[in-house]
Amino acid sequence: MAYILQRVAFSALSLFVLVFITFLLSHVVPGDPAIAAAGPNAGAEKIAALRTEMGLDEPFVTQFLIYCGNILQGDLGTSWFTHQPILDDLLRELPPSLELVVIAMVINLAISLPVGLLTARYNGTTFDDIVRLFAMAGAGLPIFWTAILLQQSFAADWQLFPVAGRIGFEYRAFEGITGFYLLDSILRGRPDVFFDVLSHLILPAFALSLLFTAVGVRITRTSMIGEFRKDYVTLARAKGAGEGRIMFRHVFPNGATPSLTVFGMQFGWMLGATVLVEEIFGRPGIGRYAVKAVTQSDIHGVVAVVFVVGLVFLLANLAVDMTLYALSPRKRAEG
Amino acid sequence: MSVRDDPLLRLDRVSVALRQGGREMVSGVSLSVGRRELFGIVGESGSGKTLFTRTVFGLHDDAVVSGGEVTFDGRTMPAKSHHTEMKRLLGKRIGFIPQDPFSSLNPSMRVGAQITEALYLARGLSPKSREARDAAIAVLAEVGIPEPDIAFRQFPDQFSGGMRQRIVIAIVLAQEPELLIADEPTTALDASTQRLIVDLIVERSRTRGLSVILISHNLELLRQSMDRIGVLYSGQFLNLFQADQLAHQEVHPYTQALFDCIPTKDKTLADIRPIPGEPAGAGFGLAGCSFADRCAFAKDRCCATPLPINDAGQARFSACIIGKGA
Repeated sequence: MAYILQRVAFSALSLFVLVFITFLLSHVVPGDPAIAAAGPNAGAEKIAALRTEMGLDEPFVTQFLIYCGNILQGDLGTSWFTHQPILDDLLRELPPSLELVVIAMVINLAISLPVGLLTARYNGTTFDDIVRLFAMAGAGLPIFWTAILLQQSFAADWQLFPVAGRIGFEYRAFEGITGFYLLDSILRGRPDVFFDVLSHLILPAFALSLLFTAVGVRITRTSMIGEFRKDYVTLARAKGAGEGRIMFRHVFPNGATPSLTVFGMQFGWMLGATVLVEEIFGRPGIGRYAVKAVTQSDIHGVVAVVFVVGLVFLLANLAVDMTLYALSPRKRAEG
Repeated sequence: MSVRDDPLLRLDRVSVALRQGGREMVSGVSLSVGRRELFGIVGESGSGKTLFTRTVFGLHDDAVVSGGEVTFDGRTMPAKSHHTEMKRLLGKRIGFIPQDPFSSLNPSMRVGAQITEALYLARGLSPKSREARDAAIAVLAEVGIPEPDIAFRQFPDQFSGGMRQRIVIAIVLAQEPELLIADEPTTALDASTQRLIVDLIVERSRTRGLSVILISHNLELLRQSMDRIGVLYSGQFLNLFQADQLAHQEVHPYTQALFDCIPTKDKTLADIRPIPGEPAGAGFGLAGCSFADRCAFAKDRCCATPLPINDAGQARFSACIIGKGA
């Protein structure tokens, strides 16, 4: 219990630091927000009035506290471009991005864990060499390049998957409930929509996950190799356990722990990387929103995206810490 | 003791080589372990004792039995399928205790589950059954774990090193093997616990009528508790002698040198003589005696003459060509 509180407190502190950095960010970017907000034809008086109204005359610390207070009330500011509360924008843009990241993460886990385990078991064989070669190459491929290649070959040339978008044209009238279309299509009992949405997700999710999977395989392999060398594997062999039992009952549960920590962080990084994938595949989402905000000098929007990505990163890590704690021997011994 | 009559395990000129490159690490080991006999193997770090034992019993991935014959209970294992044949015996007729109790228990598995798994693998008992649970608790009690029914539900990290080694012994005993191999079972433990663990292994094996091979670098520990002792030095099998007849028999110069550096109560500090030079590692493929360059009795021919091998599988043997300890 003390451990959980400690982790939550640590996350809260990290969040505070994150807010401070994003706030600082909004201050060091060039340009006067008041001038930008007032528009090109505003006079000096109007700008001065706006500056007072926006709180820009206040000392730095006061401004920061006001900013913190606003965030606590769920107010991330107003977009200078859409003139909508940014929170509403983000709540609309986040589900498609999270959907993409979750699918990419599923691909990542489904490949990293078994391949990492097998390469560790067959460490030093040709199979291991080939996988390592691919993992190395995969880790070196930039996401935007992978995305373009996949789009060009699988979608444009071979037409196996849709080229772009989140949902097919014929389903454009589909109304979500939660904003997560995969979930919504199940809730509404529409398997046709489900598979359409899924087919739109496959290529971007693969493009997004490739680099992370390459890293995931390597990390899993390394930690599993360490486990295979431990004496409990020798004892299990001496007990007469077969290779399958040794791999899945003994090595895997122990060797997966370090990987889980990395996967937690990857979740946050993936959300940040959606910027590239969503732009290329023309998907709505927080990444594309960020690109738009940057090109339109919408500082509030950019800062809010940074904040939300950071928040998701922290929450994912907190969730992994909690999971590991729940799975750890000490915890189970208590319960 | 009827050591020679129908031994449980017989090694005849067994050699062990690395899988990659085929370098021979240990060569020409001939010995036999009788039923109910406690056999010690002594050697310094790097002498090849762990590599040799793990390889012979099919627990080493990087080395293979490269020569000689291994016979278990009258059945000689074909060289080609040595590994597979050994696997069939492991966990049923042969038990193995690894070196370090801090890593030889699975940290994420309850103590009870590790024992019931052993029972399942050895006897096909369903791991969740009442019978398996009772047998596991009984064997935990047998090795001196206090409150075995509580220990059954606990995880390894809740136990000290000595208690963990007892749990490992319980796992192995639960499978009711005929031959128990312990690879330096006390190295990771403090001195007083070492004694307790070796005593436990000896006492349980005597009671259950097991044969034991205990590997250690501690000659004195082996002399006090084993029936016979074999000496390995840099991959060569130098000496084989009866532990309780030491006073009446001469031993190989290396064995003698080992005894000379053991502090005992009737020795002063000046009597403790370290062996000059550095221990040679295994795997140099020397023709002659690898101890020659450190030996007080060495002659020129020691380095050149091929090392004698315990051909006849005698109960006593010395590889010294100038006749020491033979």
